[in-house]
Amino acid sequence: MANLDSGLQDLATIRSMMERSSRFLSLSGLSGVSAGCVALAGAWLAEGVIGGGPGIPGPDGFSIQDFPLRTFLIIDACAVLILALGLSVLFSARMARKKGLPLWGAATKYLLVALAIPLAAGGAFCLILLREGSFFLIPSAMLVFYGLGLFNAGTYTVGEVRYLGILEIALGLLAAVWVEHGLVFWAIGFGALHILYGILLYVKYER
Amino acid sequence: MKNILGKLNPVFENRVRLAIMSVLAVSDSADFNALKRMLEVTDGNLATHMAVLEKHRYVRVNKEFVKRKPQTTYAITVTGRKAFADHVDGLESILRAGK
Repeated sequence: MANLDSGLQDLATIRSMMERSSRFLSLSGLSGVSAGCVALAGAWLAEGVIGGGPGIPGPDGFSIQDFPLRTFLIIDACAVLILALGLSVLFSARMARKKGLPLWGAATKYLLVALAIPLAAGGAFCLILLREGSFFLIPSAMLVFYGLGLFNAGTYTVGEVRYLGILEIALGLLAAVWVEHGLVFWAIGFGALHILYGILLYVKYER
Repeated sequence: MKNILGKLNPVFENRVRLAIMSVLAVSDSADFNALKRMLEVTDGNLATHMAVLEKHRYVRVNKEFVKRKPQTTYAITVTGRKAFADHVDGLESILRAGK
């Protein structure tokens, strides 16, 4: 039946075109792996300071313990965020170029808005916690809001991102129950899970 | 069978035009170059098919200057969205009848 075949092919065309233009499909697994590594390094630095370990010698021989704890943690967190974001964009841009898809399109815009609103709310919430001195809840809040952002953004990119979002939310709640291990949960959520998911996406879509 | 085929829109029998409509159905608008890359077609090919869709008033064209370069963007019209939805319904009933 020629009509049936061509009808099926037409539907396949419609489906693939709609998907290409409504989903951001250039999310590179390497983005996840690199962001995860950066997060683990950041958590390791933070652990060194909070845990009261020997501290890491700075360039002029002073230890990072000489910085006020709060200032150091804020700088550490910002550095992790900027490096992780930068590397993610870099790898995704590379993948977009390879696939011949536009990096900046309607799908990218939807994705960023879906992600940015929960993240902005979370960021503001963490700043309030910081001001109130409730440091112990910050890892939990970061994980929960980030998870919500990912779940939301998953509609506009590869579906696996939604499940990652749910896992991050679950970890965030656990981190609120066992606040004394907040940093460990943070490192699992932002470090280990990112690396795991990155590898998974890489194997599934890029090999 | 005749009745079922009647629901298909001959304008969308061409796969490039079908692809254009699919992209525009889910985007607010798309510019010429982005469409060209997504559909993997040549300038001339895309322009020809666009002209047909424009003639049927299925798409709306918007020409403007971005950083002093001309940029052409396309958006689906209400008529176009209706025609596309009917066509997809038509395809669906053919497949259902074929089962």
